[in-house]
Amino acid sequence: MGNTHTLEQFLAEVERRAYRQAAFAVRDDQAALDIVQDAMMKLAEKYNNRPPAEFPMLFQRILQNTIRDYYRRQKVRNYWVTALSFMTPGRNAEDDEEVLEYDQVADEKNSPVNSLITGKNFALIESAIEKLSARQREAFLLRYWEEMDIAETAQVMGCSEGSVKTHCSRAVQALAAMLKEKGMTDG
Amino acid sequence: MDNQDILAKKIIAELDADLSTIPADALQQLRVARERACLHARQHTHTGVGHSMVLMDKLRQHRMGLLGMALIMVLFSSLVMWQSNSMTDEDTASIDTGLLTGDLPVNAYLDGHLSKWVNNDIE
Repeated sequence: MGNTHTLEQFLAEVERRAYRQAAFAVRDDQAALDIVQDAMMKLAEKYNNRPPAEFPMLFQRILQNTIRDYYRRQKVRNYWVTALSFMTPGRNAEDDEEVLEYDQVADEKNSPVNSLITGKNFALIESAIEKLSARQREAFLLRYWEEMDIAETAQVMGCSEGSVKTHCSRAVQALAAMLKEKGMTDG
Repeated sequence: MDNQDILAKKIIAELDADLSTIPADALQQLRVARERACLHARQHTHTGVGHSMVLMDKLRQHRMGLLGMALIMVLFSSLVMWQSNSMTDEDTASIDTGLLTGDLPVNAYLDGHLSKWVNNDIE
């Protein structure tokens, strides 16, 4: 019972950041909510009896794996959609482009992150973070937002500590360059 | 703290500040997801404890029956062992008697031609 209460406190503390992390990664509000919900459920189901000190790392591992699963599913779905669209008569590349463009515009309008923007800074930062590669974004957010050390970040990402340092460094450099381009930094 | 760290901290400060602007419906869904996960964890914990308690109760209720069964099994296995031992003693005694009275030739018994001797004896 005590552990469940600790779990609830932990989830309440991290849920917003987890939602934003997922939204940055998948750029879809409902998918981001589903991912966070899945991650919460998996943590509660399998790791509720683990020491509370392990919750942050376990949750991040589950969250990142759930995001990767989402990417995989999307990849498979896109493959079949593309394959089927070739077999469907009466459609051409122009139609596809129009639909894609429309979807992107609709997605951007409906994106939770975009609808939440209150200031210029966040919009620019959000856009810059979204432009990072998935691994760079993951390393940057885990290291600086979740305040994990290099060893913990490496464990969550399933890579070496050297790779984490490289990803983080490149992420910050890329962010600095993008924000400088938009006139947000002076350095 | 180097320049990279300073920039990273500034970006994170912006991200943190923006967490308060998450729309109410998304927050509501997160809250529901959290409560559902915790309820699931609570049920999971209770089910585990419940199972072990039920097992202990059953064992306590049937303690006398289990003891009786164990006693019967010990008695039965002792009987089987005693019977197999007494049979072996009886066989050895009859062979000894046969050898002493000359009914069982020593050489036939020792060199493995017992079956031949038995057949000849029958004929």
